[in-house]
Amino acid sequence: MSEQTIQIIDHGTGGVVDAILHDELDALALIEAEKAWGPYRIEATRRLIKNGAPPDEQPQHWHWNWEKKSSDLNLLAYRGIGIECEGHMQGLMLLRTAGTIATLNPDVGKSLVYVPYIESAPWNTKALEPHPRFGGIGIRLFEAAVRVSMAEGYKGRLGLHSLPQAERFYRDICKMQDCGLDAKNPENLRYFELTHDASSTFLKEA
Amino acid sequence: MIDEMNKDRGWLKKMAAAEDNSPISVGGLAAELGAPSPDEPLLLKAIAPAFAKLVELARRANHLTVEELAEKANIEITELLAIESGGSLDLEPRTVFQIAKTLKLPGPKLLMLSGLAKAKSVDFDEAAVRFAAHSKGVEELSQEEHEALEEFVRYLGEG
Repeated sequence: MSEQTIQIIDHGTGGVVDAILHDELDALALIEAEKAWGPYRIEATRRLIKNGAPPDEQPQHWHWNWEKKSSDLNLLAYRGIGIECEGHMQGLMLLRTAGTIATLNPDVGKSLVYVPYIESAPWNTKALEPHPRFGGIGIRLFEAAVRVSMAEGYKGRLGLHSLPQAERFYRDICKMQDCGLDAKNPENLRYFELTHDASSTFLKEA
Repeated sequence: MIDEMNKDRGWLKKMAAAEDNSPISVGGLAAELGAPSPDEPLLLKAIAPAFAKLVELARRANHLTVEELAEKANIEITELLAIESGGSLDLEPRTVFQIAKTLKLPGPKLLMLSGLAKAKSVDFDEAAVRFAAHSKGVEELSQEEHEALEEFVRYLGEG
């Protein structure tokens, strides 16, 4: 396992706070951490229902109890990333570092890192928690994904299928190119890709 | 081992403010774990609204809240929310049977409607789509919704 100290935003103080970035997290450990978020999600769901939020306005990923099917995963094909602070995982991500090919010029046909799973802890998500505990989790995980792509020799190339509620994040903040609805995606999601050039720009600013 | 992460606090604050604790979820893992075969998405898309509507209307007809039905059926509230919003990805047969039992709906037919079992006839798909098209998302069941629900439940109970 490899780790380094990073900073994230502490909304309690308004400043930054040290956290640990685990960049070679065992996938089973990641699944365990994700399971620990479950009770908080359920409580947050109850609160939202009591406040009258209709189901279609609630975060789309709540139902994704993928731990149930973790036995179907070839875990060796994935690399786990986690951000830990105050003894809890604040954000988690899985990366697949083989088998996905870039679709955008001039990178067409070259391998990239695919992001099949990325989440902030429920207490860091505004849709669930009116006063999120920590901030910057998404951008830190994204930065880590770009750096993994660099370390793997894929020159920062990344690909992912964004859920509709997250499209703004990937398009406007991460500067990924929106490749449109992917007809091959069973959930009919939009595919986003980060080219080598765009990743270089991102890292220069980062 | 990856390179050192950015230490610039100004950049972090700027980017975190832009992110604003908004959702970052992606859908890749769902597709990798539960990917339907290439010819299934259209069928699932056609039937999913009927399943969602049937569960919602039958719950309301039984005067149950989402929380109450989840508790009675002993299923996760998140699963039920996902079902009613038409977005559940990893339904377990047990969940469907628990809902069927609690709402007094025919379990095997509900399983077909959920997409977990294949429908045996075109009639079934057509009835499901017709039912979905007749229902609307209002608080109280309208007369039209009552009739659509009753007709569809009657159809499910046949044969």
